[in-house]
Amino acid sequence: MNRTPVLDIRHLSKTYPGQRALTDAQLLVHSGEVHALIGQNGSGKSTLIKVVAGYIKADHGAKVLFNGEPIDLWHQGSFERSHIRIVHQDLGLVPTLSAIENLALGRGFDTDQSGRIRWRREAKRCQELLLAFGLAPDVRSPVSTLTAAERAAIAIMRALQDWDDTVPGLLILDEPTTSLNSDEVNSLFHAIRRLAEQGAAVIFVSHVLSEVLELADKVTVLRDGAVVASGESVSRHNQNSLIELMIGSGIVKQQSAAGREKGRHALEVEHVSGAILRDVSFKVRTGEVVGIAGLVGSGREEIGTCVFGATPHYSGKVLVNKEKLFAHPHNAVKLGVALVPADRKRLGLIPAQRLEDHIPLPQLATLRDGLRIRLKRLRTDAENWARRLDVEPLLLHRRLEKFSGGNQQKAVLARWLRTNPQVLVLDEPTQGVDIGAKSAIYESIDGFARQGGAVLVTSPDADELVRLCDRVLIMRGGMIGCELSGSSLTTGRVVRESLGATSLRAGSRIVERRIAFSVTRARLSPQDTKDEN
Amino acid sequence: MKIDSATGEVDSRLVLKQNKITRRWRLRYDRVERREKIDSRFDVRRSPFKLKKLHPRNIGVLYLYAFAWLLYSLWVPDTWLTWLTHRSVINQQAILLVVSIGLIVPLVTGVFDLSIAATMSASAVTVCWLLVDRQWTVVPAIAMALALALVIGCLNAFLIVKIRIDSFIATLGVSSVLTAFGVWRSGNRSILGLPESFLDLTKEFAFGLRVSVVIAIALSVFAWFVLEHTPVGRYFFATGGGREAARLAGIHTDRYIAAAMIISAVIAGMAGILLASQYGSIQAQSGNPYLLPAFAAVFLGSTQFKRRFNVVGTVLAVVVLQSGVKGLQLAGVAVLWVENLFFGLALVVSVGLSTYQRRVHGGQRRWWRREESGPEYLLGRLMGWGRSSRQPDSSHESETWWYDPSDKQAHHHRPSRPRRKKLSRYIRSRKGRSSR
Repeated sequence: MNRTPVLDIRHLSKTYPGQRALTDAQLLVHSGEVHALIGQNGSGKSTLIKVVAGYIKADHGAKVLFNGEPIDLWHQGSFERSHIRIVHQDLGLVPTLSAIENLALGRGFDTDQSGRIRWRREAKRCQELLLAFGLAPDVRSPVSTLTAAERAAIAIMRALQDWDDTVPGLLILDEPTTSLNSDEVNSLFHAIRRLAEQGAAVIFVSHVLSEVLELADKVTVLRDGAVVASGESVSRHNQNSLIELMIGSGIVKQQSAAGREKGRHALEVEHVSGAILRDVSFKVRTGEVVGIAGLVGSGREEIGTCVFGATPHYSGKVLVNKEKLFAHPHNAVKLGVALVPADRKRLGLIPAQRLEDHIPLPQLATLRDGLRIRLKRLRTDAENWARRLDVEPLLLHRRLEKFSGGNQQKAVLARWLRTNPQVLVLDEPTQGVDIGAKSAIYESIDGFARQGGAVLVTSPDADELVRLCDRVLIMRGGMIGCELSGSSLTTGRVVRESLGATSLRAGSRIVERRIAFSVTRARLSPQDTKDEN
Repeated sequence: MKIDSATGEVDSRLVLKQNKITRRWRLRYDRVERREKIDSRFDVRRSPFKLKKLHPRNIGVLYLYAFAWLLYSLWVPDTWLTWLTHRSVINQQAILLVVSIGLIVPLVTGVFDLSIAATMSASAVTVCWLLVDRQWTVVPAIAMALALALVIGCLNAFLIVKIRIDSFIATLGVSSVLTAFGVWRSGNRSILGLPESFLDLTKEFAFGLRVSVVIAIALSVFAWFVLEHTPVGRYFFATGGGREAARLAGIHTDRYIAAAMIISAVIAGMAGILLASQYGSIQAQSGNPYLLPAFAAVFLGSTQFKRRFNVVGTVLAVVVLQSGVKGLQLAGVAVLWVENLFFGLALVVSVGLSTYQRRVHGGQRRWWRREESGPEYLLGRLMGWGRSSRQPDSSHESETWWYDPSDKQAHHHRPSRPRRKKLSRYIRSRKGRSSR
């Protein structure tokens, strides 16, 4: 078969300061096919999509052909003409506007001669479009009141509304099924397949392998920014072979966790339920590093803040050294818990603060002499800690926003190690951090555990957890799915378990989990679900 | 292009260079010089101000003050250069300074207090009403007015922290309610006939200066100490810098916001009492004209010394703004509206300056936002101060040559000393051979 592919990407590389996101990637997508793009977190899927969309610029030397013609990769504007439509994971709808208004945002309203919007005609159009999904939502009420599936449908229809059939187009869906239940997923797949039959090319990014196997024709696997399987036929694969491709054979060794001496239980979490979590219990000993893995939305993100008392838990209790923690960060700091949050720029630090003000902030009392702070003591103290964690450059007057991501993270870590905590909680400690800083952070975590601290690390990166932790808890649907330790703690097992792909009938299990999950959330916190909708 | 694997930055790039000896042009990797960026606020390469501390962007208000002095001493020398004038300026400043200090605290904490002037009016009206209509004695009347201010502060704190209304809206609403209260209590007329003992509170004590000046200075020193030198001050700043980040650092942010609202209201109450005592008569909205000048002073102060709200800058700003207005009034420039115009302009310009300064590095670099920008830099360029930019830069010389062991061909052409020796030896040997 010798036809021009709809999308042809060659030699696509992308270098961020500090790391390489994509190395010489290639991708061939033909019309009429659903092409799945899979890979672990941080493997470069979203970077690839963003380059195609024109949000970020690729390194020089890349070539992207659309229907045989090269695309100008360095300007966004050309994409309006070139029939590439993208639906992002967060859908990009304005929650306070209605479905009609959201659909009209890019295209403009249908108006009569006086400039009045023809609401009735718009509403009819909108309803017809959504009927293609078998959905009939109230198109005049704000999008935030609709269900997740309805919103996904609106986002997809917005991308497709002035789809030109004469040219083979390309639709890119970035994890469209994360918030849908099984029926909704089925109707979405039905619509996607019909679109492909009409001659469109669809790129489908997903974490759920059963969906990939069900829907896609071809699959491309990314690992650490490189393509390891390019456009292979899905029928030749099963879940296990895909997982093997995703994680590769590179064995990550545990970083001599053996030398750490484990003592008493420093952190005990008993039957805690929160916005996503339900009935989570685990214990962390002194000198132990416990990891938490799981997909987005599995409750992994909530555990750290919950243990620190930053987000409330509705039932159960958190004990630190046998003392109950009342949910406020102030109490957590008093009991000796420290949290390095995931969203560093917003939660971890105050960007306008100077390094010398940042490091001693949680415990200023030690620098006090009577009423006033001894500024000299503050400076030497801050300098000591910054030096201990090797913050570069060591300029105490510099504002934190001017440091690189890795050094910001070191500064955050320095701040919390200075409080001499019993329990150190780290949410995605190496997110947006360059390689050099990464190993420094690993070392200081390990050193902290060796000195008898208890560490809890959550991370989307399985390699990182295997390298750091004594044991890893896998979250699934707000609960702890299983625990891996010793010889069973391998990258492959962590990925497999967090995808929930242990049994052969994994597909059905995932759907069951989804339903159970949505029901629990509705029961636990009606407010929260409404907010998210 | 070679890319540093650790940082991902461009390490060296290909440049066409000439070998000095062989005169051959070839491509070589040239290391990219990373010149350190200069904070454009203090770019002194072209500026006559070689010291950061004396830079107009650091203490510009002082230059403005000097300019005002010069201008008014030439314009209206017979009135400007008298102690009487400056005495009245200082006495007027005292009250504005107290209000501004009260306003700094919530602004530092990241909340607005628009009700500060209305609180001032309310406390002034209360104290006058109690003294004149109710015939109370001085101390209980003052205590009552301060208690009212405290209640207002608590109300603001409750609305912002518990009900979670945006501080802007909450205090705007409260200020309107307070205005209503003032009009109701005063019957919308001036309250006159305050007792002597109350007026004596702010009597002149030396050189015609009033006691309120001492109070204002003492309050400023106290506020400076607390905000800059105690943990509490740091917590206020941290809360204002990022509420959620500060909370996750273990700070009770809600408590600090509530405290800020209460402090500002109580200080405004004090200002109201001083106002009533100093002027001897009070109307329902006597304090309201202080709102805009206070904001102007605090924001203008925030452009001085540090890029954040600070007490010393605010004190300076109060002095400069008040003197500027006074001079214009003495010169007879549109006495009716010059004050409003002046303070309004000062507010807009100072806020514009501070956001502009913040943006210089945050935004994209355009020609007007380059490092080599700013009025004094351009002036310096016109006048030919400082270093010339046309100086030949040794790092960009194209005729450099150096040994690169990885480049085999270059090595071949490298005219090294042993080679030259060899050549001479070879020639010598040839000579020898020919002689034989």
